[in-house]
Amino acid sequence: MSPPTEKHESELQRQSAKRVRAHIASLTRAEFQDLTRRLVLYAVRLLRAGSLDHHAYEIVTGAIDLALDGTRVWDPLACPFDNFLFGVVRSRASALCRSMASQLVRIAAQLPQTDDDAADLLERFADESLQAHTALSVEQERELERLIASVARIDVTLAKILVLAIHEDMSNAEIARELNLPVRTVENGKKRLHRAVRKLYSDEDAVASVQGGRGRH
Amino acid sequence: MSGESPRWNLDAGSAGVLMEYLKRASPQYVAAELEELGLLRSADQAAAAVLEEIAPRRASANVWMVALAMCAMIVVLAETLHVSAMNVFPDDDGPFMQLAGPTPEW
Repeated sequence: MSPPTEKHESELQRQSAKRVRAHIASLTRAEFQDLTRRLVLYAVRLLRAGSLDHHAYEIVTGAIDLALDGTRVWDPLACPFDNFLFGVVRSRASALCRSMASQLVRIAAQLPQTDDDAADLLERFADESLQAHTALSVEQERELERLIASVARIDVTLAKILVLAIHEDMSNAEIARELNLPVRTVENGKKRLHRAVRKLYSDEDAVASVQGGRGRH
Repeated sequence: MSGESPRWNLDAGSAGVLMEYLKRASPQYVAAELEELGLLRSADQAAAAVLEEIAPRRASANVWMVALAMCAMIVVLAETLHVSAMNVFPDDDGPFMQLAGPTPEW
């Protein structure tokens, strides 16, 4: 007879698997397809540093399988279903990136690369009113993602503020409530964001002028 | 402008921001990025495979519901026809005919 803890764990997994199946069954085909696409793109982004894009599909299908068989337990009280699946994808992507083979690939991928023009993007969105966007083109959204990725490298909280300010058109008070931060922190965060934008942009200008100067000599 | 895809750090904080961003990105953007990477089709196939695994249960439940509904209809129809038949072909030996007696035509 198995120990009670194991039995309890297996019951938890069984219940979780049941919840996951019921939840997916409650989604429309279009909704689940949309979620799967976002998960694959998420995996791609996480793996990009290791040039392992082609593993994104396997990572997502594997993550969904782990959720469906209850190996990864979903507690609806702890987080929404989407966040749970994104989390499983992230842990699988991280595990892959930690492996020795991917480390080697990553080193190769980090050899000289072109700049991603983050400062251009930052300036574009760095006016005093961070407003919700509507009907952006694919290219504009890509720029927006680059901007948020750039800010996330500087400060994760600032990046979260930016996502909510741009995508949800939230006020400072609403962002503070969403991120469980004091309103003052959000206000200061936006100011810091503007400063960071200006600094990044001026750095970019300086680099460009140096490069231009070199080009002339 | 560079056509290179955005690059994200792999730390937990950045991954959290990326998740929040991708949850809000437009479906057109997500589809376009996957198409460019050659992963759109495989992503859709993955979704279809999962739904196919789960859908049969939903389909079988639907079949049982339809079967039950058809049974109920058959019972109602049978009852209706039975009552109608009784009304259309009344029993000539019934007490009513005995009380009525012979008609003038006889």
